[in-house]
Amino acid sequence: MRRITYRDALREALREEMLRDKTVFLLGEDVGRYWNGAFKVTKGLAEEFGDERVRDTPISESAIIGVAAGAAITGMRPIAEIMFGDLSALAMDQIANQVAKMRYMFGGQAKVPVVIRMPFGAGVNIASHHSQSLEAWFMHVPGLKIAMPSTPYDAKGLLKTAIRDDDPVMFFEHKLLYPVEGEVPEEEYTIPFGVADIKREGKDVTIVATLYMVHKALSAAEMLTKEGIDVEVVDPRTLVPLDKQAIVDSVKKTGRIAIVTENCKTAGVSAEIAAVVAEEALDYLDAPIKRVAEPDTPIPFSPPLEQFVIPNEKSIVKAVKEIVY
Amino acid sequence: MKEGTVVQWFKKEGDMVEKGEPLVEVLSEKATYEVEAPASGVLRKILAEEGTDVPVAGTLAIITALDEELPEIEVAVAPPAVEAGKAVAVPERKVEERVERRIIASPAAKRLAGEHGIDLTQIRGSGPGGRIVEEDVRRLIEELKIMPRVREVIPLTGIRKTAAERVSLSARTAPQSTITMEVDMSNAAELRGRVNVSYTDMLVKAVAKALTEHPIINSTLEKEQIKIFANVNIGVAVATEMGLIVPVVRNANEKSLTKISSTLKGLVEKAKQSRLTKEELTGGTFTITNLGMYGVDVFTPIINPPQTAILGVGRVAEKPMVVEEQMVVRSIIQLSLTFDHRVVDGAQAAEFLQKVKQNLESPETLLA
Repeated sequence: MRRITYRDALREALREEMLRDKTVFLLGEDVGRYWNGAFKVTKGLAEEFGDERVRDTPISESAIIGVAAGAAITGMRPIAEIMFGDLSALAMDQIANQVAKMRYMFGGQAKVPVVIRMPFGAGVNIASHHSQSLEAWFMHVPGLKIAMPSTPYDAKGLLKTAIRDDDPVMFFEHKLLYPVEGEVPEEEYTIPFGVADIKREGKDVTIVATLYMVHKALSAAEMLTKEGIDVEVVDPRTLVPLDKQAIVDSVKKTGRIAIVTENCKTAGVSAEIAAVVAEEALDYLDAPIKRVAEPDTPIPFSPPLEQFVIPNEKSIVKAVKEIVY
Repeated sequence: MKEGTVVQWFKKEGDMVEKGEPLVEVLSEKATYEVEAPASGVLRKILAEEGTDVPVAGTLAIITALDEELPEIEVAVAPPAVEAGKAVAVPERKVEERVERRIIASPAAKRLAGEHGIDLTQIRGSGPGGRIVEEDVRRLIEELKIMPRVREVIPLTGIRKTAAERVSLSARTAPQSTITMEVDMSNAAELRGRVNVSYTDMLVKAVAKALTEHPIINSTLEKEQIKIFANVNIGVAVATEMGLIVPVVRNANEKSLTKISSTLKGLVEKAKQSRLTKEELTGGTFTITNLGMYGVDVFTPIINPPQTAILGVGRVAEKPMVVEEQMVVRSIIQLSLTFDHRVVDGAQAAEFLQKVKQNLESPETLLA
């Protein structure tokens, strides 16, 4: 099968959906022909579809999401890009109070088919305001779906599903994933929401990981194999809806779980997943639940400190060994 | 005595009780006692059902004044319906014991144990801090598959429990050796018919006399010291329905054969009714145990700690014997003496046993 980058996979999804459905359009800061998006995901789309459908916006995240919401309820399918996930805070009222609640507040008379894309993640030395992973914020807002693809295949399939969804979807990418290559079929496919992917089968311990951490978990799993520990890596792919069954089934098989997420530990995504396991699979746990997450600190600018706070293969291996005995 | 078993309540909940009247029968390690009502009033709540083990100073029941409210706290923590024979401590104690004996097991281990009816207290956990993990339970299940199935579980309580603890203590601490000797009881048999005493009475007397001459056997080893007893108190093992109990003939060396006989008769009678007092059950310095009535000739009794020796008595059998080059039929008995090899050597034990033999073969000396 051909191999393309995560960035190209996203672009393919955008392009194919724009070709398929004329109501689909892009908006965001520098997504147009002059800059092609901060991470070049929208490269060439303005040339192909015109400036009307690939719209550069002023530097106002609140306006971007507000415009998208308005367009959506009047029949369009906007795909809004926020240059860095951290800046979503500026659009929080639009996202949490408008986009997420409109359908409910209008008694179902309006649909809000908005996709809000943004990159998360630390590791590229751009400090506290450009490195956060804030998926837990949005997970706490009923009305928002959340997709977090870890591979080019998932990126394309999930983005197409997100665009076709009649409800708002937060679509979280990772800065370090854009150049990552993976197999993506030429033919059309979509990936349903709420279906986790077992990225690696194993019988001794379950690691649930999201986004870039899936890759860290997979290389930690390789290291652990050498020590005779057979790791299963479960990638939920969408946090809302969350494929609880896949996680519970895996725990039933292994009896042990470590949750690896690139966000701070307190009230993080890992806390939610740990709670699900405690509620629905307690009797299958043979060891305490382990969470590998960031400490409750801003992401440091100093590269060594930044590396220190991000979960890595070593911290994952250590956590797994603490529960596999 | 650490705990007692409730045998029988003489009153029901709701009955009026008078201070000093028998309220409940309790079985200690060796005897049953009647516990008297400590106060007058209404027996409001029985906390220890019949068959329940209760630690010393545990609460058995609550007596209140006629119009007094039952203290709520007591009711709240009262043990649930008790299965017969299941140990239930009093409420206050129960909380402590639960903390002490808390089993750390993973939920998965608990689930698997529950599914297979495995008692987690049987398992030593292999996880951190001794946590029992699923694999530990699985291993036990595998082991149990090749083990015979259990049909019935009898809790180790009362006399059986005491016996188990004492023989274990004995076997664990004292290196024991058993020697046997044949004794011609023909003269004793003749005396028995004449004086109306039993073989056991004669054995007690013969042993008591021998012990005064071999006092080292009438002793106990305590740490680095062998303590020789001044009294010769002979315990006689009696099999009862409740189990083996050992009433003591005190100062048997100072008692005449007939006195021993009457004393023993009284003790055995009380033993069979579980009415022996603490004084009648403790303080033995040597024990005699008899399996002759079951046809046993020779056996290896286990010393009754902290004593130094025990004499096992076999059956009296008519056997051919050579006396003055003549084949004659005599009444023969086998004696089995188990001794604590830390205290005496085989030779000393043999000398003592020989003395017992001589005493029995010349029973006139027993009348002296």
